[in-house]
Amino acid sequence: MERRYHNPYRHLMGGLGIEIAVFAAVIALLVVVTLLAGLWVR
Amino acid sequence: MWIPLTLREVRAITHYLGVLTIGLGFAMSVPLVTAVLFGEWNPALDYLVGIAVACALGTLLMLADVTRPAISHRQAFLISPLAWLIASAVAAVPLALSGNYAGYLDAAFETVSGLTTSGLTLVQDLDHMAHSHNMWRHLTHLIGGQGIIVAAVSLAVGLKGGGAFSLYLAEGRDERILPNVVHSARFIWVVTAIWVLVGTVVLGVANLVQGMAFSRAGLHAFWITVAAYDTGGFAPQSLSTMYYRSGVFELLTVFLMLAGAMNFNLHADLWRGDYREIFKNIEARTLFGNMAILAGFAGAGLAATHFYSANSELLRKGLYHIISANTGTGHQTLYAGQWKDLGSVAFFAVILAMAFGGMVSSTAGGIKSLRVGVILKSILLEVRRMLSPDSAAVRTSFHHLTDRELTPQLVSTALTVFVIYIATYLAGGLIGAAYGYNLDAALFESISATANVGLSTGITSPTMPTGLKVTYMVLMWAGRLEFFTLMALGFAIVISLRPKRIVR
Repeated sequence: MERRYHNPYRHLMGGLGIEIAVFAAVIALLVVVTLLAGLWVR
Repeated sequence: MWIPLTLREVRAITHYLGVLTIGLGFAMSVPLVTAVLFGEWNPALDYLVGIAVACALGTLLMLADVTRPAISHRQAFLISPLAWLIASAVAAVPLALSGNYAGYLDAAFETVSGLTTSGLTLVQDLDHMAHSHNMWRHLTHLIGGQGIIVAAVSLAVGLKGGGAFSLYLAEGRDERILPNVVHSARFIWVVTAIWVLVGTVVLGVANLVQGMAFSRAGLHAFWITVAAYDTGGFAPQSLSTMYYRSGVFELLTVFLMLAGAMNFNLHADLWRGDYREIFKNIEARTLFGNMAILAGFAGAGLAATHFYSANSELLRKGLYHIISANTGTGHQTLYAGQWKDLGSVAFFAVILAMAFGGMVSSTAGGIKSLRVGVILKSILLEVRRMLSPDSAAVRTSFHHLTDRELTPQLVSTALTVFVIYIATYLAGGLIGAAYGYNLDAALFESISATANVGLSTGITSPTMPTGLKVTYMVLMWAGRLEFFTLMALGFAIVISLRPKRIVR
């Protein structure tokens, strides 16, 4: 599959929103994993 | 065949180093304006001296070739490491005059650390440093994080010929984001400007809510944003982000760290509306998977200790440092002497997180998750081969911006860089241990320097031996440029000085 070079500014705000949402989901996952691991050891 | 440099090539390289040096002089006008705004007259003089040195040296270097020659591919790979050296040397001039450093070497250590977005520091009395000097320290993160060369390419400063893309590659970027390399470099700055704007506003509000004065809240927000987004690690206070004593503030910096550790191509794909890319991309999967595993180990390790076993401590002392380390940022919420209180499991989880690093074509350092992902894929491929019939042709592919087949060439390149990083981490650790430090602390510091992280167990201090300061400076420089451009420079010098013996 060829790489596409569309205008990267086309969905700027949507892209930024998705980035923030993905990071929030990743942080939530990491928080759950950390706390579960702590709980397991205790 | 090894081809020595010609005098014409040396003059062309020198010319462009001059252009970049003058550009750095222009960048010093930002702290100069800051000094004037805040009435810091002695620091203002330091920056006038710095600008004068940069312009004078830059002009002299440019005179080496007044014809503005075109840059070839191999010249680009020599300009890049030398540009980082000269930029660090010139940027250190105002800091050396500030009185906050024991001498020029300490100031140069600071600018190498700043430009490579490492964050290890030798500053003294940081809590009373002038705003203008703090502005310059953090600006070095901004200039170095996006890349000195990228800055020049984005402005197309005096560049002639097809060398711009070679310069772009020589600085550790893997591929262009847009067909035109100048547009790619500008895109990197647009992403940065937007994230820095968002981060400064949000952290500024957090500081105002905490009761900080308006100008101080704004400056601290800008500096921490730049340091977190550029995965640098400098902070305006000696307590790093622990100074703010706020879980919300730490959470906001984590968003900036993750954004900084992300490949600029991934930013571009999301901004193009291709939202699925982040879920398919091998780099993103490896980075977030790696963080989850190490966060689990850190959480389990901390829960077994007496010091940080509360749930809030698992997150603010464990998870925060895993993310700070894995993204190569280096902001910390511990005193340097408290690392041993984490226990050995969490401590080594942080070491591994630093060693692996963020994504390629980001501001993060370390081995990089793309290479780790490629190596893991190749291990799985070998296992599949073992379990397949002899006649089966077993192949595998992965997704990184496009679908790609896992070729032996890709695996070999990833393994080569992996081995070089591991060898450098160990060598730096052994050198630290030879100076009398504990091997685990020395290894931690060596990985922190080489992977451009900036977390410190306290070895990095103004009182550490000069030899170790120079060692860490070389590690930061080599790690930022990912070794090969540095090797190219070394070989080019040796070949050019003794051509008859080495040229075959």
